[in-house]
Amino acid sequence: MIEYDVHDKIETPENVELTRTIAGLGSRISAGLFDYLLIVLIFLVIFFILALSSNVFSYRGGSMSDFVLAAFFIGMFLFYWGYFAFFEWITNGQTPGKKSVHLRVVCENGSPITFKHIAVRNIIRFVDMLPGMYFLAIVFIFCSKRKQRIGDMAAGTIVVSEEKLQYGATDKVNKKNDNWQMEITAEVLEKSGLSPEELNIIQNFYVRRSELSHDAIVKILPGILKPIMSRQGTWRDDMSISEMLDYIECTLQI
Amino acid sequence: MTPAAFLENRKPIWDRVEHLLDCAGKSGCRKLTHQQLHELTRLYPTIAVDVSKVRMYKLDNITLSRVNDLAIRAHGLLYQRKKEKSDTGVIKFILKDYPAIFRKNISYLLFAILLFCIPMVSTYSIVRLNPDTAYTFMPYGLDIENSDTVTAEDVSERYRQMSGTVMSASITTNNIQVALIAFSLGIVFALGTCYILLSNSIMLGCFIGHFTNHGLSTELWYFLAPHGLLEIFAIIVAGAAGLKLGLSILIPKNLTRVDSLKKGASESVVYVLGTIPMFIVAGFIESYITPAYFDGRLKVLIGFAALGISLAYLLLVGRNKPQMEN
Repeated sequence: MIEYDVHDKIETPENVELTRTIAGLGSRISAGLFDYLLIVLIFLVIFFILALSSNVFSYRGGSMSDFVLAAFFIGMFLFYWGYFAFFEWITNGQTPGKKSVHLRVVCENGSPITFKHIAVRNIIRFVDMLPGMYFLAIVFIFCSKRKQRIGDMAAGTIVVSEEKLQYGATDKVNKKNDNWQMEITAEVLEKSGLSPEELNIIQNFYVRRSELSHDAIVKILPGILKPIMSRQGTWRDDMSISEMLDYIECTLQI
Repeated sequence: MTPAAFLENRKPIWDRVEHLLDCAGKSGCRKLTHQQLHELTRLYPTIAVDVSKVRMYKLDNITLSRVNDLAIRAHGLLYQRKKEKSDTGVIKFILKDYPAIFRKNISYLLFAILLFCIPMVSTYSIVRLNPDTAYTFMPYGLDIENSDTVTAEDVSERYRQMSGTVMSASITTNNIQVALIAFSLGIVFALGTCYILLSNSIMLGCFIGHFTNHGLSTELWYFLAPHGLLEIFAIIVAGAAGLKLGLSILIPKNLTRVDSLKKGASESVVYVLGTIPMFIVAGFIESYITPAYFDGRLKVLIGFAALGISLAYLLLVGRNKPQMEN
């Protein structure tokens, strides 16, 4: 099986390994595009307001347009260096763009980021942007094991995906009938008398059955059920496929 | 315990924890009542153990991801930094931590001062010996003003034409930007920082040499010293931060290079952020005092005072007093 997602392991003080999914290059680029789109929009609005107000103020003969120009310089500076830092600071690691694709910046050890982390990764953003269009950042995210850009490496942060884990095939089934959850319940475990491992195998087959051709089902199903059913003493060599499917549905209580 | 019994026992607890975490929302544990928080801290370790148990029983992925998510959310909530502390810590940071970090890294500052002063002095001497070389060092800066006719008054006048407010805003932000870039480029094995320090020092050395060649050195000092001393000092401090960042990769000592980088970065970023107030003061002086119409000697005095106060703050504030031992 090919692993598409990179997982990061966190060791808690309780000595338990928790896993989280590290964000890939694609979602980070889309988060970035969203953020820059927002920056352009905000900037246009501010520019419009400043231009308008400077007209109004100079019409009254005041020297307010100087202040407007000064505000423009300061605003430019704050936007360039502060946009990402500001949002990461107030939301614990989520700029609006990251939020839109469910990403979050966290420390490598899984704890929330602090001011220092934010400062480092966002000042070094300047190098990541070199020689243009975040070229270095893209190269580093692509090549590094934990998908970190240079600023992430220096700050010791990773960007994780907070999307609920979804499993390719089961996802389709979930959408077809909402009440069907691929979850082993205590009830099923008790009544079937099977181990969780065996139930997992049966469930995975059941979920994927609509994607399999009839020939494939005929080939696979006896192989799956024979060891399980013979242990229970219910296996017969002349069982038909529909009988086996009935057995599965009965076991999983559908 | 059978897997079935395990699920039956733990399900209500997972639901409870999920409920508690939903109550907390995304804004940390402040929204929880004292009792709820207490309950969560009590339940969290058992949830963490459940992650291992779900794996052990080889239960399905949905259960595993659910319990894993609960544990991660609770972990993130409970092992949080103390936000309140860092807020009240600002004063302590200014009065104690920042000067301490500054003194701890003073060797990098000395290194940066050398990197700045040696090229500056050599450029100055070269320009003094061969006046024409000034145009090689600064082809753009000096071409515009025909140096034979320029007087100190011209220079000041150009300044006075601009509004102080606009100037202080643009100069200050530009200087802070140069400092941040000098720091950030330090990650390229300190080479980028060296480039910024060198280019600035060569420019300054050439500037001083060129003005002295034309007998304008006093006017230059009146014009440069009030804001320049503090500004150049702050640039050098930012350079020192960049050097520390770059050297932490080059010389990792007993750490791995990446770990050494992280350690160096978290200290040097504080170092460079501390220059921001200096730039703000310098920018204020540059736009309101340097172009003002009063005695140049007083302006120079203000410049030295600004630098002196900064140095005194950085070198003297928050020093550990000799401990009283009885």
